[in-house]
Amino acid sequence: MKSKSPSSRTLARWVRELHLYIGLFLSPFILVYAVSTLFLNHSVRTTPTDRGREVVPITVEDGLEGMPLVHSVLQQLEISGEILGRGMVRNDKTTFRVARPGTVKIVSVDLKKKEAEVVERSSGLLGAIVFLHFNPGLHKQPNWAVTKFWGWLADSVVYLTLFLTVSGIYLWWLLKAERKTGLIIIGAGGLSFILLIVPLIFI
Amino acid sequence: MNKREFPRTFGKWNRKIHIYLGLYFLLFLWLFSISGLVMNHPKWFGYKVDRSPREAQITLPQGLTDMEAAKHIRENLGLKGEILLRRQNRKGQLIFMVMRPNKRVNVNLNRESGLAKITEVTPKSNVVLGDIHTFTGVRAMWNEPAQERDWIVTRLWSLSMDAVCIGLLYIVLSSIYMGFQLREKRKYVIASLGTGCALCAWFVWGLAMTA
Repeated sequence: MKSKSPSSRTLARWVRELHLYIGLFLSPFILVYAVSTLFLNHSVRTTPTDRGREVVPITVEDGLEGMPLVHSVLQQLEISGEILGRGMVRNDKTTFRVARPGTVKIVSVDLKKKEAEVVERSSGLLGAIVFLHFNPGLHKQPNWAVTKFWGWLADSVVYLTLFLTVSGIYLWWLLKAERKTGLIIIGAGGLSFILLIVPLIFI
Repeated sequence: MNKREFPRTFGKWNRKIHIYLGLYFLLFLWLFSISGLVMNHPKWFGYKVDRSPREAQITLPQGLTDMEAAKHIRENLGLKGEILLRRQNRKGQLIFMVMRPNKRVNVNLNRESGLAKITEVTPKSNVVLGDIHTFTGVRAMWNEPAQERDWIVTRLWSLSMDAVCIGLLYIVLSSIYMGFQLREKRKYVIASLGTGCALCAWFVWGLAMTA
């Protein structure tokens, strides 16, 4: 019988430890993605509820518009979040949204009256996980430091998930008693994958 | 099975199912992970599509609903894919899209003249990956009056997405169970799981609470 070398035993131990701890660290992130996918896959929509409305006087420099206007207003209102909107002024008014997971503030600025109306809308837990699932996203890159950090985390979740799958294969391969069943299951998974992807794209 | 044997048998099968589910969904996990990464970085790969317009003469039978008419046209034009039928705003016209991950066909039919303007949009492979990732057939952003999957392939793909999610939920829960079974490593298990939970909870609840 061939005995394992000390280096391969050390490698196996390290891979097992990393697989365990990285997997546990990723668990809540994977839950967020899996649960939100179930809701998105069945088009379950959240019904946002208004949580409050206030009108706040503001000072705006003449001729200010676009993103400088948005940032100036947000600074005065002490609001931060992911900005949706460009601050284009029409008829002395502009509206933009400031989103966080599960909540959005709709800011309507009246430049003539020099006031801003802020409506806060909550979409709850489901809204929060769907927001996180969609960020950064294909059509929008984050503009808030916190969502940029989430984007970095989302990328890390991908890299670490890939590590978990590869390390999982390695750990499974070490279990000689499971090799045959494992190969059959990989084959079955691969076959179902091909049977689903081929009609989706090629037929 | 006595009380002492149960945890051992459960632990053994829990581990086996954890391994088997991971192996079964391997390609699905790679697909969704890589396509997710590609969608997070549209600038890395660009967003290019090829468009080829054409026209066709179509005769519709009387009394069809918009969806029935769209299905009729899809069949007559030999198209395959999910019909995306938004609310019809232009009188005398039927506008819809037949989409699948590697092709979108826009159809704009003038009901009176029977002339249909058809534009085939073929995206690049990175966009195809993104479309596979999001291809549920019932996206809220499409704003369809009837949220239903009208292509059998979409139904199967959507079912497989559910299966992957449920499989992942089991893999996660089984890993937590297995982690807590390792008594000598319990503090590290709690530390890694706790760090992940705390970070995730801050994003899910914390940010809204401090808004």
